[in-house]
Amino acid sequence: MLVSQKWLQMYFKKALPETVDIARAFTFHAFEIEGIEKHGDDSVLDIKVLPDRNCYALSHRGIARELAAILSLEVSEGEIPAVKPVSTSRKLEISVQDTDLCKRYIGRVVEGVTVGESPAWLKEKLTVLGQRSINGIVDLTNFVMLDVGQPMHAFDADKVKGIIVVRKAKEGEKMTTLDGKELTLKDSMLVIADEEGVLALAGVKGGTKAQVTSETKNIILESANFKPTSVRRTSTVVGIRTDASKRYENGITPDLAEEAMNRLSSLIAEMNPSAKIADAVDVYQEPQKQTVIEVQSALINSMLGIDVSEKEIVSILSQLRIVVEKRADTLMLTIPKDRLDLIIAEDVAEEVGRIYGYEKVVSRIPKPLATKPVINKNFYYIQKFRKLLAEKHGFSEVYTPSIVERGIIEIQNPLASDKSAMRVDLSRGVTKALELNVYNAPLLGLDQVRVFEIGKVFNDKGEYTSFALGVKHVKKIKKKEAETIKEVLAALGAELGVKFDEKLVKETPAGAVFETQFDTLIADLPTSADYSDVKFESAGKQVLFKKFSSYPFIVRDIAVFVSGEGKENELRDIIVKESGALLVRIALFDVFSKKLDDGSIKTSYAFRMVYQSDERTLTAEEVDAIMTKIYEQVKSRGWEVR
Amino acid sequence: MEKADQNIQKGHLHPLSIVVNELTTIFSEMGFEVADGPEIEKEFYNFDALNIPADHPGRDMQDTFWLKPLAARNLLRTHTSPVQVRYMEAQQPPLRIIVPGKVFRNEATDATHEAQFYQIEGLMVDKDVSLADLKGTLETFLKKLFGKDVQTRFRPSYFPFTEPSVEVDASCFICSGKGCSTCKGTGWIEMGGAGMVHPNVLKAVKLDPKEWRGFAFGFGIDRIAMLKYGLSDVRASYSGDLRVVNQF
Repeated sequence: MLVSQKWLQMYFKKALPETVDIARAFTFHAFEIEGIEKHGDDSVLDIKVLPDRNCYALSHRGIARELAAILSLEVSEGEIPAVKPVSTSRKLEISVQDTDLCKRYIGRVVEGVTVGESPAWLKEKLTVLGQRSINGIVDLTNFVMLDVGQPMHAFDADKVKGIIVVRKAKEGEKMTTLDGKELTLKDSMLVIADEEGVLALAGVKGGTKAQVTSETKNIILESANFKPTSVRRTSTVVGIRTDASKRYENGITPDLAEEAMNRLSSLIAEMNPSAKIADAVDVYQEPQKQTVIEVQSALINSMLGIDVSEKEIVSILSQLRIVVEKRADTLMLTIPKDRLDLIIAEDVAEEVGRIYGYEKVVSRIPKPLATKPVINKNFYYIQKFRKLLAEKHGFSEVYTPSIVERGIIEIQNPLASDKSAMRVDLSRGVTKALELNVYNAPLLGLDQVRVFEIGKVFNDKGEYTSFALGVKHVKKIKKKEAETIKEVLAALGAELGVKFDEKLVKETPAGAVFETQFDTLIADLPTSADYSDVKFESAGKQVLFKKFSSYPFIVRDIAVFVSGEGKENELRDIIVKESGALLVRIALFDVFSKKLDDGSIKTSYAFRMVYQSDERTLTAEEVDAIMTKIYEQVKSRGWEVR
Repeated sequence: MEKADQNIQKGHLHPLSIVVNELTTIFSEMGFEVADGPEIEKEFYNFDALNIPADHPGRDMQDTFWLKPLAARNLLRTHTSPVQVRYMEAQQPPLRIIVPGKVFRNEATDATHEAQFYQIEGLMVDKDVSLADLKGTLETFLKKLFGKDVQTRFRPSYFPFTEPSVEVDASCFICSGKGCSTCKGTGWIEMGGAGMVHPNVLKAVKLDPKEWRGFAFGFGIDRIAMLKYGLSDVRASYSGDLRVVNQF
């Protein structure tokens, strides 16, 4: 919520601290500050009010009171000049048909207003917060809401026919919102209506039927309180969220409706001195009960782990407008009506803790429990498998998506049509990983791609942990991948004391894949005493991740005959120098020496180079040009390119 | 046999696995048990038992993947907290558990957001547990993770399942709090949320809040990996790409 510092200042006689200090006070005692912007001589703070404090803090007065509590300042709320009600020609009648969904409804007739441009002070107040100025009446309703937190509304009285009825909509009943949106309502939604139709969607949005325009002469003011869950559900179904609905859905004290109506009336009277303001009509069936919380200082201290005197606790609570009465060792706390979030002792403990300051909580190390923690067998063996596969068998671990294109378990509200079901196995993901990494094998410098995954799958057997391996030979060898996997499974099985079912090894064009259910596999294995033997070698090691290019790479090989031996580094240096920054990998992949007839030795070195740019796709021509430069250097030394 | 054919290099574990391994080592040495639970959860365990009833604005704080049919009220768990509830239903306090696990959020994906990610949750329930115990436990953990000079601080926050609730910050281990790009110049890094277990959560598992108290905390593991290793895009972790994994 955006808050103007100048507006906050109106609540204090003394000058407020610097904006940065105000922000700091909030950050450590109440709210996160998401941003601060300067607007001329004003500063606007973007305050992150979380759902629990929406009931009282979505207003400048609420925020001002918070600041006062944190900094021990005194709030000075100005006197609102009372309005003397007079008789009006329109006599307002209100019928609230559902007092569960509408806890309070106050309506008030004002006759003889002029609806024009708002005065400068009002426009400034709204625009600094990014709100639009509409007209003098609508702007005042917004002002009161932003000031004290009560959503207000105004209807053109001459467009309201008969009694105002607060009722559930008829199924299929229609209304057009002030934004011009056509709505078809459900019979669970609460509306404000007259004898002809819907005037407003209660707590959410006004309609065009009785819209206040520049021609309006007579108005009906609304200050009401609606059931939070009802406003929230309605708002969600119609897809409209407003400043009003946000406040209602978190709950507001019905007490506020009366005060806000008085404020609005007074402001309208100021702007329209000749207007006639009637008595308010107030339908308030069940006045809000006073919340009293009983709590002991000892309990508060015990929950927070602090040792604060009762005197200081009482002082903090009083700063929060809580009236404290001592009865023996118990404090009876009368909670301000707007603090709907304070219900139990723990809520009070949080108030004391945050105002006192969490930085003052002194750390305590909990004493160890008498019994050693039980080892989680499933977790232990997942760690053990991981450790063995990577450290002993050269497998790298992949995490593939759980949400995929097809599966038995489908998502109701997916992010995309190809991400709309839960994976039935790991094999599909592991196969894709084989393909991706085989393609990148030159960059990775791999002769074989060996990957594995351990994770949950979701199929007709239910949800369970699965284990899958995949192997692809990049450098061609006589052995087939299935044989490689079977060798690994035999070795792994011997190390763990399990028997892997070789029949589950499948050959595919991408490589050989094996998958089996993990929990049944480890069922007969012993439980360990602790996790010490499954600590990873790589845990705790410092690694700085290097970003890699997403552009295609080009592979080139070069084989060179040199006279004599020991020329590997010299040849490598030539290649590196002529290649420049585009060379991302160079590896010697073959060396052999030949004795010639004359007794001299010549050696062949074969290098594989991978070229890639960070910024674009390389062309074959560019790489050819590099190769040409390398060949020239090689030839100039009397060496032979094979 | 295999070594004779080819040059088989050492394999690499996924950075998230490495972080989980390190975290669970630290916490099990502090006396915490590892617990786990299902990724497909019932609404009751993911929300209601954690003091987040239907139509509560708290549900907005976690965008949910619901599963078909909607009437069954099954979903992909949005946090690892449901495992705490399941554990407390099965075990009597005193208890100390950590729960590393995969969670799912129905959010638009970008460099710092993916639909699936990993969290680690912690829970301690005993008599007289306080915020001081929470602070001490987290301080010890963060020092072991990032270095012994690391400081911890709390800021007020809100979660439906804790009261009081706090955000936990660690002093930046890269610049020692002076300000750098990792900590966005503030000297502090946001680690995650924590607080005292809400009495409604204890009541949901038939524990008497007058007798038992607890603290809970939750951190993002992908986030820790990004901080520790300088990973820049969370989505890269789930692509099966060894250009990522083989750096570790």
